[in-house]
Amino acid sequence: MSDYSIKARNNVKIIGSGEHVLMLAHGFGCDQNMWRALADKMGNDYTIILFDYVGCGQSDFAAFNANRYTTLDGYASDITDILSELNLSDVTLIGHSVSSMIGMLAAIKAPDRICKLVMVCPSPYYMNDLPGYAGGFERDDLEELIDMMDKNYIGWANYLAPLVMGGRADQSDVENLTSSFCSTDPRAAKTFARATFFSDYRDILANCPVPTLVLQSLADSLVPVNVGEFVAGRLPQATLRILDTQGHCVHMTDPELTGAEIRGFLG
Amino acid sequence: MCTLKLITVDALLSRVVRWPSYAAVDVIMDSSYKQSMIDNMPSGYFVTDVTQSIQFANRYALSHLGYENLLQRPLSEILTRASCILFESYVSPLLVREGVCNEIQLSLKTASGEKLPVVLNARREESDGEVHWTFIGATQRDKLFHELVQARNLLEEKNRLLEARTVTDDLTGLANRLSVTQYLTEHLKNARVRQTQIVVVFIDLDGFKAINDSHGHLVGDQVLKAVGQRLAGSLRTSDLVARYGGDEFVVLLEHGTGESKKNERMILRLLQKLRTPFQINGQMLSLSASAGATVYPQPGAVEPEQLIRQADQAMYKSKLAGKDQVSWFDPQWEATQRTYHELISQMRAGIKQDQFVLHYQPKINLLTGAVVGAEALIRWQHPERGMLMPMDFLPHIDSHHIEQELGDWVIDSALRQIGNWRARGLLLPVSVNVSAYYLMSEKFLDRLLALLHNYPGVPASQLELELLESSAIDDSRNISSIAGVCQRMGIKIALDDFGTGYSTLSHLRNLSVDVLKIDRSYVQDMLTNPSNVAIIRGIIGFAKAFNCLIIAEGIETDEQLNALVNLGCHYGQGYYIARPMPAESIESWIAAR
Repeated sequence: MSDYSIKARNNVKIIGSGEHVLMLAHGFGCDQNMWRALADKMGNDYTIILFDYVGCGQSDFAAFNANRYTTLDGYASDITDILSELNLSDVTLIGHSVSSMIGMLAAIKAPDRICKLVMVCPSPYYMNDLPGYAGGFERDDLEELIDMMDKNYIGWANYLAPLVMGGRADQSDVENLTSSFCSTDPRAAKTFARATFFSDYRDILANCPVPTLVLQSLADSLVPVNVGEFVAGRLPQATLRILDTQGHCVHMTDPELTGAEIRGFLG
Repeated sequence: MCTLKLITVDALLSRVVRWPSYAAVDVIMDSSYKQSMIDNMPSGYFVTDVTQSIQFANRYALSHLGYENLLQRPLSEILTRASCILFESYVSPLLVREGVCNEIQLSLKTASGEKLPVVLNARREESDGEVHWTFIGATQRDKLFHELVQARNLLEEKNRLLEARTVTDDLTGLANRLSVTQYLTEHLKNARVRQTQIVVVFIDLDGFKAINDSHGHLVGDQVLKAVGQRLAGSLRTSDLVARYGGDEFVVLLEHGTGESKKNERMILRLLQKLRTPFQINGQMLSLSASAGATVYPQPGAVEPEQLIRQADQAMYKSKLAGKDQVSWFDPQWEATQRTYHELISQMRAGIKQDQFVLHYQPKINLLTGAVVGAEALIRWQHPERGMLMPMDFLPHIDSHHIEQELGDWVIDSALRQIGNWRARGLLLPVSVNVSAYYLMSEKFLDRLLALLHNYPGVPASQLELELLESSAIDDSRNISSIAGVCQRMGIKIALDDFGTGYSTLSHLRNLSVDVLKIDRSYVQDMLTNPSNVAIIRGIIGFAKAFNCLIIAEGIETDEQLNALVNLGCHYGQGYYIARPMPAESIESWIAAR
C-alpha cells in the first residue's frame, strides 16, 4: 500500500546523529518513552530509531490485528517493516525484555539489516520447566496476570459498554484506566502479554545469526540470573554482562551503566 | 525517641510533609505520636529503597499481610508472581519516568502465602529513588469485578443468541444479508491498513426457478440448503458465505493484495462445485450459477452496499454472456452508467422543452427531378452541447424506454408537418426511421392509431416507416406481422440500409415491404467498385421481383445519379440533391428548383 506509511503506523521517531544506527525496541507494558534516558545519552554518537509496536503507545491502533500479533513473529515483522521502509542495513537492535526475543526473530528474518543485537534482561521462556529450566513462573501466575490486567485496564462502565452497544463499540470507547506514559490498548496489551509470557523461544536461540550482548540485572524479579546465563549459553555469539543493579528496567534506572556496556560492545 | 531501624519517623514525615494534609501536623507533634499516627492509618503504608528493599512498613501493612517485620525484605517477596510482572514491566518504568503510579490493582502475598488483592498508590522520590506506597484492600472491588465479569458473560451469551438470530438465514443457517453488510462495514475500515483485499462475489443460481416450478418449493429449499453447504464447504473459515435472498448468495473473501488470480480460481472452483448434480429425495437435480465479483479497495471511496451492487451488476453480465461463469466489475463502467442515466433524463427534459427538431431530406425522381417525398431526420438542439446528430445520442439509448417516447414524438411531429404542408398545398409524404424496439414496444399500434387520429387531415398513406434491415431480421416474424397491420392501415413500410443486414429471401418474403432503400455504402463506391454495381443490380432485381419501389441513398455526384438511373433505379436522395433541412426551408427549396 503506497499511501500507508509504516512510519506512521509504528510512530517511528528518528533522533540523534551518527553513522551507526541503533534501533530501540520497548518491552511489554510500555512504549518508546522508556528509552528516553538511554537515548539522551547515546544520541550524540548514534542515530537512534524509536518506535511503538502496533497496539502500544502512539501507534495506529486500527492496524492491530489479533492474528498477526498472537506470536512474537508479528512484532518482529513490525521491526523488519520499519527497517525495510527506511531501507536500513547494519543496524544494532537493542531490545528490552520480550523485545530481546523479538529482535532475535527480526535478525533471523532480515540478517542483512540487523548486524548486532543487545538483549536487555531477556527471557526465552517465562515458565518453569523443571528440573532443567527455571523461568520463574507457573502457568497460574500468568493466568492471574491476564486477569489482573483486566482489572486494571477496564473502566467499569466501559467494560460492559461494548456489549450493551451491540458488541461493536469503537476500541476508542474502551478507555485505558491508567493512560499516561505507558499507554497501551487493552486488547492489544492482553494479546502482547500472551505472546510474551506463554511462548517458548528457547530452541530458536541457536539460530540467532548475529553477535549479541546479553545484559542481565543482578536482581530482577521477572528474569532470574540463571535465565540470562541460559540465553547467553545458547546463543552462538553471545557476550553476557551481569550488571550490579536491581530491577528489570536497567536502561531506565541505570542508563549510564547500560549505555557504557552497549558502547563497549559496539566498539 | 522511637527510632526505626533504617529510617526515622521524622525523616519519613519530613518527606510526607509535602503531602498537604500532613503539613500542619509536622509542626506540633513529636515523633512517637507521629509513629502511632502512621501505624493507625486505616491503610497500608510502606517504603522501599532504590534496591527495592522494604525500609518501613506501618502496622496496618504488617497486620494485613501477617508479618511481624518486613524490614530489608525485597518488595518482590510480598508481591505475587503476576504482580511482579506488572510491577517490573509497568509500575516501575512509570515511577522512574513520571514519579507516581495511581490506583494500580495488584495482589500482595501474605505471610501465610495467601493472595491479598489491593489497590496501590506509589510515589517515587527523585532524589534518592525511595518509593512510598499506600494500599487498601480490594476485596470488595474484586467481588464487584467478579460480578461484573459474570454480568458480562451473561450479556455476551445473550448477545450471541440475539446476534445469531438476526444475522443468520433461517433456511440455510448461513449468514444473512444483514451480516454481509456488517462484515463489510467492519472489514472495509481495516482492509487498507492491513494491506488486504476484500473480494465480494455475488452468486445467482441458473435454472433454480425451473426446479422450484417443476419440483415444488420444498425441494427448492433443500437445493438452497445444499448449495449453501457446498459453498461453505469450499471456503476457508475466515471467508463469509451468506444467503442474500431467494437464490442469491454472497461470498466475501479476504486475501493479501495482488492475489487476484487466486480469487478467480477460487470463484471458478465454487461454480464448478455447484455444477455437480444435487441429489434431493432420490432425484438428481442439476443447476449452475452465474457469479459477479468486485474488489476492495478501489481508486475511489465505496460503501458496502455499493460493493454488493457492483458484484450484482457483474453477475448480470455473466447471465447475459451465457450464464455459468464469473464476470468482474469494471469500476469504469459505473462512470459510464452515470452518463447514461444523465443522458436519458436530459432527453426526457429535451422532449418536454422542444429541444428536438426534425429536418427533412427530399427524395426525388431521378429521371424527372420531381420531389416525391422527404425523410425526416431527428436533431437535438442541446442547450450545452449544441446541435446533435442522431449518431450522437441514438446508439446510447438502444432498447431503453426513452426510445418509445422519442419515437412517438417523431411520428407526431412528422404527421403535424405533413398536415401543415398539405394545408399550404404541398402534398409531401414523409418517412420516419423506427427501430425494431420501437415497433415492438407495448401498444405500439394503439399509439400509432391515436397519433393518426389526432391528424384527421393526414392520410396514413403519407406516412412511411423506415425500418433498419438489420433490426427487421432479428425478430422477423413479429416485425412482419406489425408491419403488415401498418400496411393495412395505409402506412408504407421501407427497408432502410438495404444490403447491409444479411437478409435472406425468406425474410423478404415474410416481410412485405413497399420500399427498398439501397445503402449509401454501395452508392458511394459504385463508380470504382464493380462488385458494388453488381450488388445494386441485384437489389434492383429483388425490388422488381417483390414489386417494391427502390430508392438509392447517399447520392453525392451527378455521375452516381446517372449510373443509378442506367441500372434502373429511378428514385434517390443525397447531398448532391439536397442536404437535410428545416421544414420551413423545404418549400423555398422546391420553389427554387
